[in-house]
Amino acid sequence: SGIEALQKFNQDSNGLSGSFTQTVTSKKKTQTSSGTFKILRPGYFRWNYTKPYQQVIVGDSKTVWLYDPELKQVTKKSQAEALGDSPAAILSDRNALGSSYTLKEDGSQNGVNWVKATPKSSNAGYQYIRLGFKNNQLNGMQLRDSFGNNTNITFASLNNNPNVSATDFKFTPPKGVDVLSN
Amino acid sequence: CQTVPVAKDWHERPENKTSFDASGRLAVKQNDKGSYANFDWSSSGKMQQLDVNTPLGNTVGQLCQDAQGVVAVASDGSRFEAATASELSERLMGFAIPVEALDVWAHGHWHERSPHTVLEDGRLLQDGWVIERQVNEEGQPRLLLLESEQLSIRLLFSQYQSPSTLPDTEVCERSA
Repeated sequence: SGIEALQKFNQDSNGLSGSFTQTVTSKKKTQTSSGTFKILRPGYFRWNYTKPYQQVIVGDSKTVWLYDPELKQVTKKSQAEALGDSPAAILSDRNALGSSYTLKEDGSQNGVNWVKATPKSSNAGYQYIRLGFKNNQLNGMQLRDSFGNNTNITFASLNNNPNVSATDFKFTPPKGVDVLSN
Repeated sequence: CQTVPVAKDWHERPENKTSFDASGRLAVKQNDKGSYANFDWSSSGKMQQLDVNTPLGNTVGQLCQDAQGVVAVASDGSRFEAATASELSERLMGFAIPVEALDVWAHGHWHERSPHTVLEDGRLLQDGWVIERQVNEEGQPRLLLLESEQLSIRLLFSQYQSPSTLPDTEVCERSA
């Protein structure tokens, strides 16, 4: 089932890396982006958008750094506060979905078992997160916010034990870039 | 990086405003404080709506302006109304973004509600903001840069088109 797969995912895989494709559907348009990600539990992640433009999101377990190379701006905020900002923040925190979410089996389609996590607090910024697992492997993630936007992420070329260490998640702002705290 | 032409020609706002549908990134800087978000921004000429989003696509705040004024909606559904969008955007984003004039400036126009000056370097001065505009080859907005004494706001457009369908309502949704 979905919940079992989520628990197994939370228990064993310390690290995970791969690529993702993200599609955001709002009332008026659909926007697609893609990139790569790396996760090392607990709390380390890199979520890099490469298309249509570059955005680098790095969690070093204390601070989340959001860097836009074209605008030459880095915005940093405390990682605890930024949990909702990226799925990697959720995936890199073993008990992110445990305490503050209620979990529910949410069916399966073409081999993907879905779990629906609904935030217990109302100001989480979104209505629910769905995580999809295929033969116990993370396959997809969906988010629905309170404005009717649906984010659908599919993961690919997953590596369940990438050789990553904490130093891979140290973010050093490039020279000549504004580093601002949120 | 490739140089993007700076549009130096400014004109009075035409009778009816340009309708458009755009998205991109918004970067705000105030000394060592700052904020950054993706945005979706559309206007039918009578009503404009600015959605402030995370890179993940969920909206953290929405500003809507129509003939009656401005309303802001936060992600927990709470709604605020105020005289000016700057006041609302300060409450929503922590920075006073002059949304009520942004769509006019973005298209190379000044509005008639207050005096303006076109500086020699081709930037526009209005409402305490020095505004620089860069356009792409089709002459559509590519970068809008606003500087006031302590605040710098940049909107970098990654998508800009005339809307295929105009929204049926010209009024912001005010009650939940």
